[in-house]
Amino acid sequence: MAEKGTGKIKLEFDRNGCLTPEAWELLKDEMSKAGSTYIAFDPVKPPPPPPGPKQEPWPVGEGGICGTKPPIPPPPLDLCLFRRIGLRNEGR
Amino acid sequence: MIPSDCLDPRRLHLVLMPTEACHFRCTYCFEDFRLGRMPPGVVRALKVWLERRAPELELLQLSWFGGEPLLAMDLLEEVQAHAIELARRHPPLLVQANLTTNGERLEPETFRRLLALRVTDYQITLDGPADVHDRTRVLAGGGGTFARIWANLVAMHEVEAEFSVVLRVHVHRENRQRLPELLERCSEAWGGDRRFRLSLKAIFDPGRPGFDAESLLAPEEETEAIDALLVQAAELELVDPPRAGAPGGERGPVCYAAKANSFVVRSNGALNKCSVALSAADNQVGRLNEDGTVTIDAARMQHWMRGLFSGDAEERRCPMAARPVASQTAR
Repeated sequence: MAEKGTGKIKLEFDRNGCLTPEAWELLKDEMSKAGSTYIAFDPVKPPPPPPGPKQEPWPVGEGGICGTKPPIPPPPLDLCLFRRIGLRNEGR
Repeated sequence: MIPSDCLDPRRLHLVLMPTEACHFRCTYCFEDFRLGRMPPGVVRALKVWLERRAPELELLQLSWFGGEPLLAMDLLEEVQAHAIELARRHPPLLVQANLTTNGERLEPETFRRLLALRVTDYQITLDGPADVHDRTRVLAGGGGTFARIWANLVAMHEVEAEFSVVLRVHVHRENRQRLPELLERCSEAWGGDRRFRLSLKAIFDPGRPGFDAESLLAPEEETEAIDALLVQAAELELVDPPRAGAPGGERGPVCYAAKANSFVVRSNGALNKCSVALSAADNQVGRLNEDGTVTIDAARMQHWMRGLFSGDAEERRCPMAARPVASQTAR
């Protein structure tokens, strides 16, 4: 486990070889306590999920053959620039 | 401020040793060649590890090293192609690759295949003009190596592609007087081609029996010799003009061995920090498991990383050299 406030820290690594989130916090604390200009890196946060219903992964059957396909998404909205800003396309 | 690349979990730097065998026996080499080719189980585990990491990575840097990595070109191609495929599947992951090679087997066809796999940065070593080079960089079975390396370098110069070559030139007592001659020859062959840059390094004592320590330059001689050669190299457009500021900026350079996100993957699956002190016991900080997970000895890892939070620039520049003398193992 990590030790805090002892002036010594014990880092931990996960099975991917990455610092654990707890180790990150300790490292940031330690660096700020050092009073130096060291700034710990903010660990990556996963990007927010895209809007809309969650897309399920394609099912994979025996031998890697898909049994079913996900539903076909609706066509994209008409985002034609000319229509949105009220201009006509004059063919240029 | 610590450069975020020292800790950033979105980056991973691996020094890969697909084989620790080498067909050279350079007189000052620090390696022992005991481990040969990376077995299939380790290759498989390495690929699984990369696959597990890829979704969260933005930069994967693969440094091909050995032994002589081109003796295991098939493994290099297999893993490199896998990494490129992962980058394709996981944008914005970027894969960069460099290769440290003796250059003897870097024929045009091999070079073409490597470029196609985005291995774009190379380090190749010469020790002087042919007769001088062939005294120290010799084949395991005997015989010189200059002619083939030189032919490969000239062929690379003729390729129209984006790549870079660090031409490492070793400096020692026996060759220092002949190095100006080598620099002249380099200038005639590719002077002004900014893809080729010269790097001058003094050899160090590998710490094994039979090494002729008399060939080492004293520190002041070393500085004098390298400074004089750098002046000549600059005139011949073989080096870039010096930039303002120390390497690594105001904090100084940070060795990859000091970084949280950098490992040496030895051919037996051991995870090390330093690519020079290979046999130092505490260099091994973990192991690549068969299932593609890794087991890390956190205390050892933290020891190598200590310069990141101690404020000691030397511990960041070379955590190996800054260790207590008793625990060092010369290579």
